[in-house]
Amino acid sequence: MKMVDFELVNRYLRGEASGEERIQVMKWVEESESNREEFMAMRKIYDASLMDEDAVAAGKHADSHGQRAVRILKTVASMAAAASLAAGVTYFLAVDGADEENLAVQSFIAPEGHRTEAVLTDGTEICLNSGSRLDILSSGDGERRVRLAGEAYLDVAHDDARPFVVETSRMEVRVLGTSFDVSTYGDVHSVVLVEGSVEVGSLESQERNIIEPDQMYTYDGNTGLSRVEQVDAASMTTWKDGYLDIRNMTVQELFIQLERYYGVSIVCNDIPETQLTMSGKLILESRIDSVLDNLTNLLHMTYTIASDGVITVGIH
Amino acid sequence: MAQDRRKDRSISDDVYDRYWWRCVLFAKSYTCDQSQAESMAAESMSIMWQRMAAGEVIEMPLPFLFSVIRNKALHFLRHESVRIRAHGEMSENAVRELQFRIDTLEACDPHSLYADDVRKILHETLDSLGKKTDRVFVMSRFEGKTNREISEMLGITEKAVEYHMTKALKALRAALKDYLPVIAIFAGL
Repeated sequence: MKMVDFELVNRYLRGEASGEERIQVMKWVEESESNREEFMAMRKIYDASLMDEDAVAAGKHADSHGQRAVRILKTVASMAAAASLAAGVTYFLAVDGADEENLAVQSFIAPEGHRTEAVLTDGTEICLNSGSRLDILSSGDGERRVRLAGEAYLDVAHDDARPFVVETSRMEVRVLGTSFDVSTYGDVHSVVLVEGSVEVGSLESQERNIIEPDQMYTYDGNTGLSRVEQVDAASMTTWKDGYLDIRNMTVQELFIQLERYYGVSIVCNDIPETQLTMSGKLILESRIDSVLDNLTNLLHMTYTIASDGVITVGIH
Repeated sequence: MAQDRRKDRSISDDVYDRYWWRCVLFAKSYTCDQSQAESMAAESMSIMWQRMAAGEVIEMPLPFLFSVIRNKALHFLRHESVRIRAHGEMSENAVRELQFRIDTLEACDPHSLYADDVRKILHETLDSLGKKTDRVFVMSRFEGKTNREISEMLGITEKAVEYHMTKALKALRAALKDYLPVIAIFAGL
């Protein structure tokens, strides 16, 4: 690439170039001092033009599409603000290289109606579902251990020397490096495996099961029974991306999911005898009333929220 | 004039309308990661509100937001760099490319880029390019739209969108040629 490939550099500057294209740009920059100057000038034009206040007004009244995007994104920002204020998330800043290997974050909390995402210092990514808490118990040599109440999706950084253990009040999940979802709603605790493999068992017995991708292990604390079943792991973990993937779900089943996510109590009267099932995607808005408003039209339902927070739904 | 624009600024929707896409595009430009970019933009705005709510007067929101994002992005990229080196999961070129982005971000100073004369040249250049080019540039740069979205909205081909973008970039490059000090800080290369 002797001449400037404006199109490629523009894609690079927008952060949309592929890994290979980025390397291509870097190599072009390294070719000569004039290429480097050229690139740095374009880099600065890009950054400076983003800060041109006068053009903001021009773009502002562009169209309603832009307005809608802004509204959706506002929710994201208020979510982040709420999470950092209300949740008391303890961030860790690495002081020097030696501390990089420790999981020094103490605990994460996702308030009702909000998800919290975190990357631990070992590279493990965690998405904590609404109303959940995760404590880091140990991070030194030997093993990495966290305790979970609620639900979390974990993408564990591979480390043969230090297994990653998620414990709940009833079971223990042991992994080397893999993606999975753990939930602990009520007495039933479960693990859904997306990729890799995990070893799981209840705290009360020595029995350990190794499950494979698209399998779910469930332990029922009431009966002491466990089972492994085949599931569609991807559709069960969409909450981390901000929506529920609903497949042939009845109204009651949906309300149970919403109760968990938003930490509310939903009372539903007058459910029709012939129960219809629903399929589709439900966007998890930051407020339960926004979700109910969306459902109102679909289900011909009405709802009231009492002062104690109990939601009464009527379906007609 | 700068004074007038600042007058009506408040902690409100206005801040989003004005700055959201810019913050996301700036963060994404260096991180190449949409979701990281959005969360950095959201965090920078929430930090600005907290400061403003605490009574601090932030005279220049954009350089403030960009500085917060710059620090967050540097932290993220350095961490990424440590991580991929430790895991040895990426090619040597990819590691170097990441370092290249870290070096350029370190060289980026939001406050100097915000300097009035730089923006004046940008603005005048865009004005001189004709309505369509200006419109395409604004949609691409400030509204975060893809070439396809722009082509559909303006009823022109994607090739035409690329043409207008290239024309705008070339003109800006020429206009700023003697102006932008080219700092070559590439210690790691």
